[in-house]
Amino acid sequence: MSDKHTAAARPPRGRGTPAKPRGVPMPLFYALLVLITAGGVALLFSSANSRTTPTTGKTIVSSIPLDSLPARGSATAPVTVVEYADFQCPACGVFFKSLEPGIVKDYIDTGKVRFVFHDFPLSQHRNAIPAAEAARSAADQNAFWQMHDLLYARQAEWQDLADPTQQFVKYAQELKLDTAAFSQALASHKHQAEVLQARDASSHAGVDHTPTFTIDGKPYDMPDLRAAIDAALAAKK
Amino acid sequence: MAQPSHYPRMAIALLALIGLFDAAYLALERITGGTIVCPVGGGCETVQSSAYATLFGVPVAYIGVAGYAAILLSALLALNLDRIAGIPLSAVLLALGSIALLAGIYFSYLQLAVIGAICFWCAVAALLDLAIWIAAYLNWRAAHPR
Repeated sequence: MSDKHTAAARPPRGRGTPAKPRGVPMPLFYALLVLITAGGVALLFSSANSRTTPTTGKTIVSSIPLDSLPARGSATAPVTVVEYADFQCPACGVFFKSLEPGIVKDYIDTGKVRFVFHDFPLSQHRNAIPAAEAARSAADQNAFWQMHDLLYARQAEWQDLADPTQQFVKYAQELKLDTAAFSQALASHKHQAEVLQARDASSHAGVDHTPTFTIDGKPYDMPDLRAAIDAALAAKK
Repeated sequence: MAQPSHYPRMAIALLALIGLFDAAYLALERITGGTIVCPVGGGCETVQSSAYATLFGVPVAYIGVAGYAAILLSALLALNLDRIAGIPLSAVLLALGSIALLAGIYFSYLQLAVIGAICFWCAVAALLDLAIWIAAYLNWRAAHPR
């Protein structure tokens, strides 16, 4: 029951009667809420706008030993580049079409760079994991890079399929692989655990977008890759 | 009946607002297809891409946005009213806070025991859920002194 002797300043209580809190000025509290809301909205907007956050200053090293991953180029090349990529990611497709051929010709074929492929399938790409499995299944028959190239060249053909398996088997046929062994590897998800492990390792290492390239743990984006390779080669002379 | 301290309700509003942005961030990245910045633990992508990130076909992030919004709204109402549609707001807050706490426990269990990875943003939400429940309980106790 309310105190009668302090009731003078208080209106009679009843259902729905506002019970105004006293003490801390409420306008201050509401102002704080508005401030936090404004700050939060600004943060969300900025995170939505900076799609590829600049990766300068971080070190990215995967817990997976690089020599267990698919790689191309001389084992004694002075510089090793690791690509963290998703087979369904459009930017990775752009790298494949526009930059990778030049890198292969100028650095890999000349023995200057060893290029390692580190799977990082992203959750928003429904067929990224099956595609990675297909590439690793082709690796069983020493055809990783051929399958890698086909997958990127034909992204539009398989990325939206409800089940891309048959399409991947067609690619295996095109590459003249043993399709029975390839299909078996896909159906039994022989390589799924490795792909998921690579994804977790990428996430753990701090990779936050694809493609991300690292040289000695330093991350670079596509536009900076060639310059970074040149600098690393010069430093090793 | 003594006027219950308004601090627990203010705390709930603040905590729910932070929780709202936490869930909104995850929901935003899911909608735009972006990668989640994962400050601690490195398990964000793993958790968010697991089957457990969806409940009955709805992404948990969306449920979180709705849930925290409801708690925020209730707390703000509770700072100005005793009841809504005849129901004491202290009970509404305790009920919502309890659901939030159970959700936090459930999703933390999933991450630790089933998925085997921890998503930083989910961990933050679980802590917020605990704090919200404690504040809601304190508020309810103060409104129903024995």
